[in-house]
Amino acid sequence: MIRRELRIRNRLGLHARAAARFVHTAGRFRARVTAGREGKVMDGKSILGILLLAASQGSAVEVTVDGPDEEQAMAALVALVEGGFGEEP
Amino acid sequence: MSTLRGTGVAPGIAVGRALVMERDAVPVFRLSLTAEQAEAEVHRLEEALLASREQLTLIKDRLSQEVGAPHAYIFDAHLLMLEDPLLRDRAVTIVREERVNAEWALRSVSESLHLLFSHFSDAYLRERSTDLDDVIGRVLLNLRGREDAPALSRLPAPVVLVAQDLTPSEAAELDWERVLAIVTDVGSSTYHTAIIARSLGLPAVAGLKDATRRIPAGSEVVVDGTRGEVVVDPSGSTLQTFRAAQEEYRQEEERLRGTRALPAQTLDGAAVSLEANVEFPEEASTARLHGAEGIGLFRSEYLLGRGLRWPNEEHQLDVYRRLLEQMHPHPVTVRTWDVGLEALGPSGPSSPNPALGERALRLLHRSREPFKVQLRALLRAGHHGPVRIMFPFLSGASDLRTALALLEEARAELRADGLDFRPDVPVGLNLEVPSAAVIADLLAPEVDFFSVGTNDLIQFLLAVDRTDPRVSGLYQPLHPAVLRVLGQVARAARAHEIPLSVCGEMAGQPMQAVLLVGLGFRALSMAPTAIPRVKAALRAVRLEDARSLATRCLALPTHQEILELVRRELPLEAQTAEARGRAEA
Repeated sequence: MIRRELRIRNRLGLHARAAARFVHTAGRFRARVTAGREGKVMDGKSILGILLLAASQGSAVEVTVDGPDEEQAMAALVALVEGGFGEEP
Repeated sequence: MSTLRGTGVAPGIAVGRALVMERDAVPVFRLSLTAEQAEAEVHRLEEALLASREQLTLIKDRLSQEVGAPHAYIFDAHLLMLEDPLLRDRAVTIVREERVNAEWALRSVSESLHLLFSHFSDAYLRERSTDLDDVIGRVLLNLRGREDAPALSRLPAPVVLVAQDLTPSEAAELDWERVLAIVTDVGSSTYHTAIIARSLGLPAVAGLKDATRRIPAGSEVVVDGTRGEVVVDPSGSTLQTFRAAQEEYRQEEERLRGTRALPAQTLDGAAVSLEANVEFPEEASTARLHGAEGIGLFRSEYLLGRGLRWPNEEHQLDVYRRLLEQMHPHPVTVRTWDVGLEALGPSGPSSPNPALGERALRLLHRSREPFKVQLRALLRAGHHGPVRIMFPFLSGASDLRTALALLEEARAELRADGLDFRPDVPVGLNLEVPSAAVIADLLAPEVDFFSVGTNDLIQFLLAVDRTDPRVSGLYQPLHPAVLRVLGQVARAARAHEIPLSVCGEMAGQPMQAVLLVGLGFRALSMAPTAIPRVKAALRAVRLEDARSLATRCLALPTHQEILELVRRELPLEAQTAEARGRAEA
């Protein structure tokens, strides 16, 4: 299992589009993905879960991945989040 | 447990599950299922999710082509929500474990998620709950689109109806057999839903302001229409108390119905014909059960139904004939269409003040056909029994003559068509516009009967909108002006020897009914359930006393003084009937 703390950089935070991209990305891998913030831990493949993290710009999200393809999964998620979901910062 | 207080507009007590009707939303029912039914329900839910998925994919693809993929992202989010374990799996679990219908399960899921979203501090994120509403609303619609879905016309189980307001079209669609009681945010006792509730013998509480928000859908509620109370989630002991009261009320009703066979007459033998006001043909049996000697007012516009479509001649003939059969040998008075501009179609003109605008026969110049078809059906019904035609909302002799000319045209057509009909079906005037009431003596020679529609007459005479709670206190049936006009109408009818009745709410109030008899009225038409109480009151007074009471009332200058005098003078039995009927006041 790998654990990383990622910072949300894009202006709108983990809103619908960003959350959708996160879930899509997580869904491409077999590894179990969770995302946590302020004591809440959500299924990384549930859009409602990700939205319920209410992670606005600047907040830290702890991501864990656990499974055979966990390294690729984490790399993809880090690229997505650190890249600000391809949106304006 | 919580108690909401409003106005009791129809007496009685009922206990049941709340069906909360939200405007422009799918009504959500809570159904208890067997394990087997629950499995079928899971399947129904999955089908609806699948249908929603297909629709959203189509929308997304079209949008991607038309405006580019980045803009279609929101539908990606919606599609993901449909598949989300927090929504889908949770709803399936609720259906299986709580054995409830899919609509109810979705509603529970939605409510718990909304609660979580509402705690967000970031406004933008908080608003994501509208995406959730959008998705769940779509699934609900897909559930409803299926033939096995519950609907107003096909209620799955008995319910207590909780609505902001019940429109006439909804009322027409409702499956009344399954309605236990009615609770509304708006309204007072003269309000439309109250009239329906009383005619169907259902308890009703109105004017609760926010009942639709405070009563959770599917919760157990007690409705006490006699005291104007609604108890949500009653405790065991409260429930017991209400059940006992319910039984007592039922026995009382039974006793009153026992008076069905007793003649409706005063102590000294003056007969008064007690008739029923009805909106739906099904109410004829309620009317008979309560001892109605005829239907004094059939509000025919209910035949238009939700879609406001004019029923054809044969369909109408069938309805009128059935009413006549059920009420045999008593008469059935049908009021011709009392509709507004909306009945001419949604794209038509509108009126700034519909109550005083183009309404009823004032629509003739726009559309003659629906009125003529109705008159043809009524003349043909006359061949089968004692039907009477009543024209509403006429203000004087010239519009009366226009209506009579249309009737003559209908007769000529029927003759030419060679159809069976009764040419001399009695034709009467519903006196509700003050101008017509004031010149009753001039109109009497041109008609066969008068029936005073006191609700509108009082409203227009006193310039008070009875549905506006800020002035409804000024709606005073015993205002001296009202009594004076009623007295004049009675004199005009007597002088021209034509039958005279009242078909407004006044007729159903025992105390006011006694006064009407004193003024010279010998026929009173009211909500069927009010008949036994009015009969009890009339049987306790002497005609002579009622007359002298009316004469003394006519000399008093205020509503309050008249009320006090009547209360003081009425015999004890009439007072008791009045007290029992007070919930209807």
